[in-house]
Amino acid sequence: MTITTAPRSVPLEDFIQAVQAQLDTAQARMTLKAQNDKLPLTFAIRDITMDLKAHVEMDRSEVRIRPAGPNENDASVLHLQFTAITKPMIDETAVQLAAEDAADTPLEDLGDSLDEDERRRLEWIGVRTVSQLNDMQKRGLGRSVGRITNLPISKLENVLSHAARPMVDDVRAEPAAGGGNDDLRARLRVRGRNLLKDGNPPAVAIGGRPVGVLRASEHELLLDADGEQFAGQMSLAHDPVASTQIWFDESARAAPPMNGGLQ
Amino acid sequence: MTLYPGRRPLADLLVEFADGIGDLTRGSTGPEGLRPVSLECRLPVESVVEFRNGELTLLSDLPATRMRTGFDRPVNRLSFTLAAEQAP
Repeated sequence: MTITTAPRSVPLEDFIQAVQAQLDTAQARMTLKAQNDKLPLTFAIRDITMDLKAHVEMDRSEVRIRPAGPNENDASVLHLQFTAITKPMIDETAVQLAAEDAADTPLEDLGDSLDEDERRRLEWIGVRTVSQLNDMQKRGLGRSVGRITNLPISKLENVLSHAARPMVDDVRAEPAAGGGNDDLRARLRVRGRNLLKDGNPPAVAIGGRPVGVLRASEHELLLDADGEQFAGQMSLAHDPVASTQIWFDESARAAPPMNGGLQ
Repeated sequence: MTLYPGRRPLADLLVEFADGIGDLTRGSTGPEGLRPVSLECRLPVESVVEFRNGELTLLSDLPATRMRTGFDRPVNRLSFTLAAEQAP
């Protein structure tokens, strides 16, 4: 059963996507028809323009529209123009987006750090990802961004700190490699993201006591934990503003086997 | 089921026009081989949006009547070009 409802107003962006969806559907149907009828030629939608009478509303920094109803003669007129894009243009855009996606965190993934309204204010100036925001800050544009978007600069700094804080996916105890007494000691391997900042590992503490970092990369840390640090609260921080706290218990895995492991 | 009976999605309108020219293409197979290569339209349409199964759908269709009444929505303008190209 098809469920239909009439929205009072819709975001302009959603409306444009709805138009695009209709154009794509029409184009796909014309292409399929040509293939099924084995026609040498088909018709393609080259350009399309729509003058739409609608009411424009602002709702928390979002532009929303509602197509005009009967007797609503004072509505605004939106002039929408679409044109066909070529495959090379799609390929170029897709490559660029893929590169951005792989290396970056969208602002909406930051959870409560930014509310929807604040995120939209940043999107106004083309900042949609953490690295784009970071780049603006590094170029000394933080104050300008704050002024243009009406966001306090301390808020932007907090967001960046929050985004750059270490993210832990997995903590695992494992025997140390190499000879000598180290064979008897387990170490902690931490996997995650943002484990390096400007090439430096975070300050790590377990149970309130610092832990040495033996090896560090963007996605992995090897920690020199002592015998009492294989369970408890681990704290990782690149700066005092934003730290990551996790609870873990690897004491069972870290304990030496009862037979001494000499099988 | 639609909340706006008599109004179809925009895609239906466009495909119907393309079908019209498509028939002409098949019919014009005379020795001269003249074929239409494009069609430009500027049409009055009534447009509304509705959610169908959670998806925002644009309904745009020709006005049902020539005479407008106070119960009819205002007429919008839709311009488009359909151009012939090699079928894939």
